Amino acid sequence: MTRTRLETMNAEALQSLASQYGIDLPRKTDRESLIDTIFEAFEEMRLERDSDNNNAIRIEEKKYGVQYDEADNSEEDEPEELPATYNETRIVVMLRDPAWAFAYWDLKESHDKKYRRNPDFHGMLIRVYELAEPTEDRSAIVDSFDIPVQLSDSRWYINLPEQDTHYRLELIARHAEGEDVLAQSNIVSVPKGYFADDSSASFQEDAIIALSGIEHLGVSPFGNRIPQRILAHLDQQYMV
Amino acid sequence: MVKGYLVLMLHAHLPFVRHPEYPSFLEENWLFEAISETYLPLLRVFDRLDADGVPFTITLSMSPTLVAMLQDSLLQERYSGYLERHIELAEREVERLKREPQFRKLAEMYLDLYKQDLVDFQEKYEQNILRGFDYYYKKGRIEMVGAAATHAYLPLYQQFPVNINAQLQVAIDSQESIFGKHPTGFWLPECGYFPGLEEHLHDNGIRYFFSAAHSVLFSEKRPPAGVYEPVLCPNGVAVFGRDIASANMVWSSDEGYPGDFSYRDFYRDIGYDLPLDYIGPYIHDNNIRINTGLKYYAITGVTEEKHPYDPEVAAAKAREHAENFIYNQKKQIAKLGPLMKQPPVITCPYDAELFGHWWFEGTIWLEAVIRQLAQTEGELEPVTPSAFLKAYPPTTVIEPIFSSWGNNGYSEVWLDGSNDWIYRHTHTAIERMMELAERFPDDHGLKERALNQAAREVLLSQASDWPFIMRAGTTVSYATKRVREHILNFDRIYESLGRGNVGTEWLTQLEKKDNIFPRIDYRVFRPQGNRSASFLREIANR
Repeated sequence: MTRTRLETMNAEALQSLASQYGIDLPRKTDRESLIDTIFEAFEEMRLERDSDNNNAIRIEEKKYGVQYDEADNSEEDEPEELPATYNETRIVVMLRDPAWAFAYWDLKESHDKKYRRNPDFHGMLIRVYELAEPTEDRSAIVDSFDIPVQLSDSRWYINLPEQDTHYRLELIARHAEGEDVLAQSNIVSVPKGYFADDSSASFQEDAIIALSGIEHLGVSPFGNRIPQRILAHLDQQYMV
Repeated sequence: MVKGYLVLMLHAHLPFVRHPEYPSFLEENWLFEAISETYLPLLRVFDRLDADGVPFTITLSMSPTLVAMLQDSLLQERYSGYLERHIELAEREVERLKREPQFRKLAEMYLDLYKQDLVDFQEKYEQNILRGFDYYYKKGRIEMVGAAATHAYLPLYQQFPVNINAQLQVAIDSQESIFGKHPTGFWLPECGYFPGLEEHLHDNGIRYFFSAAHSVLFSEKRPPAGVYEPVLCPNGVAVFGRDIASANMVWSSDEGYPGDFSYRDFYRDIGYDLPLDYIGPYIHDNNIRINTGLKYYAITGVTEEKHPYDPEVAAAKAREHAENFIYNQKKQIAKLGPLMKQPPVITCPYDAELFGHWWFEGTIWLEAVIRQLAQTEGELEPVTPSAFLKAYPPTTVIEPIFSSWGNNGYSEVWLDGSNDWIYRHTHTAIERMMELAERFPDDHGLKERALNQAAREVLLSQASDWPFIMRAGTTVSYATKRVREHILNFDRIYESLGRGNVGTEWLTQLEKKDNIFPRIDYRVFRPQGNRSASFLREIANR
């Protein structure tokens, strides 16, 4: 967002933009100060986003010209909204990184109605199963925990307590008589997310890893566990 | 005896942006800027090296979406118009700055650049610059590797093996039809890998791919030579892990070469600096200011008071940085050599658009690196992955881990609060496409056209660019609209096939607009018995 772009907007559009992005505005302010406040907030957001980005992402941003003003020359031809539901009861889990998974789900209209109208309905939950093997066989379940969600929710980020394991989800409706398992998800396999501490590795092998630029690896925070034997090489003659 | 090797890998990609329904379209400039500042200058680098007899070896991937745009006649016409407008602007600038020699010299530099681009584009390549890349591919200077059909970030589609296969198969078909050869290597968009992806690569005749460093380094069995020699997946497909030690020198604007104060400042552009009544005809409609490409200032430092850009000083600095890069790689080889059983290979993959577009002097740096590599006399040899695999067949077998080269090493760029809404729609579209491919196993005529278009729309909706831009926070409305449009186009075909009445006029219009992959066969989405088996036989027979 540039100042020039903001200057083309009327007061209502500016207020709406500020509200959309959660920018607090002083109660009484002139147009110039209003633009200043919004512009500064956008700059702050941009710098914050940029500071989160590694070099690969920063460079990739440049080719989309994302420093350009937000301009859209086809506003009058806005496509219609996508469906809010596909009328199918399902739950899908996607691995974001070794510490977080993302789940989305959908409910059939008949399920939604059934629970919405039922006075004995006690709420929905996501049951997270940790599995010893990537199989649907219940004997593989190592552990589980529940995340209560609202009937109106349809997505959730799940903090994964363990790495180097597998997870599967169930979408469950609770009611006075017990629980209905409405859907089971796919299985995600979570990597360890750090260096294997290979005690049989030779001096040469550890030194090579230390030479690999691991101090710039940028994999965090679960990836920061570098075996001491490798760290020791970082201070030695093998470093660039 | 060669002491060490360097794989220089450039990945060229832009999303499919083509809007015949408008007389001009802002986001088409992404392509035009990249042609002007990266692709044509890169071809001129190759020409100069070739003319001077410098042996060079580059590994290059050109995404199928980029390739489709480069050979599209509408975009070719529009690019000529883009160049003509830039030449006109540069001429006006030369006149405006006639009493300011320091700046006039720069306006003349841009005038020369755009005039040269126009001559190369229209006369040398007859509007199709793929001919230039094809020439060096056939000559053996470029090793062309594949890239996913619409640059989907594959780990977020791993639960749909048919779709992963479609992204690979359509891409390879497209590459073969244009360059006439089946690639043996593959660039995974954003280095996005998930365990099992190698099976799809193998099934499509791919022998190696590139990965993020930690994909290899964090495997259960640590490779003894780290990223300095390729390793094998359990199915025999080789992996070249990205070298981090060298990456920061080239990528980082803070610690790396591109941030040098004498280089051209990317952000200071006359599109923002000059009065609207003058610059108006060369920026976007409604006087929305955009970059014009004409930039007169050097980075200078963390200051608003920028010094005028001096191309000679910047070019000398780029050559000095090339020398420093080679020096550091030789030093690294010297350290690694005694620790390894075979000569190390340093794998350096970069976004091609880094060179010339953002880092204006990047192509000068690249040319100097290649020229200096040719003079290292065995200390550091450029090599293609195929040649290295042939000379030093890998023996270490590991299981690489899920990874990308994005922030923090996994999927957080393409899966966060700004963009996670898209996946329920793209996933559903994939499932429905698979259903269509099963329901209509052997249809022809209008139905087949509709099914093929449905396959195009499903693939286009998956471009990693859209979630990337949504997260970046600007031009969000365009990225959002693109995902919505492709899903809605698909849904309309899905529903009309269900009803048995496909609208010919609407379909024809859509085919003209989203005209990518003319050879696509929707049966690539068949859950069982897709073309994979026959495709494999075809590869085996080649």
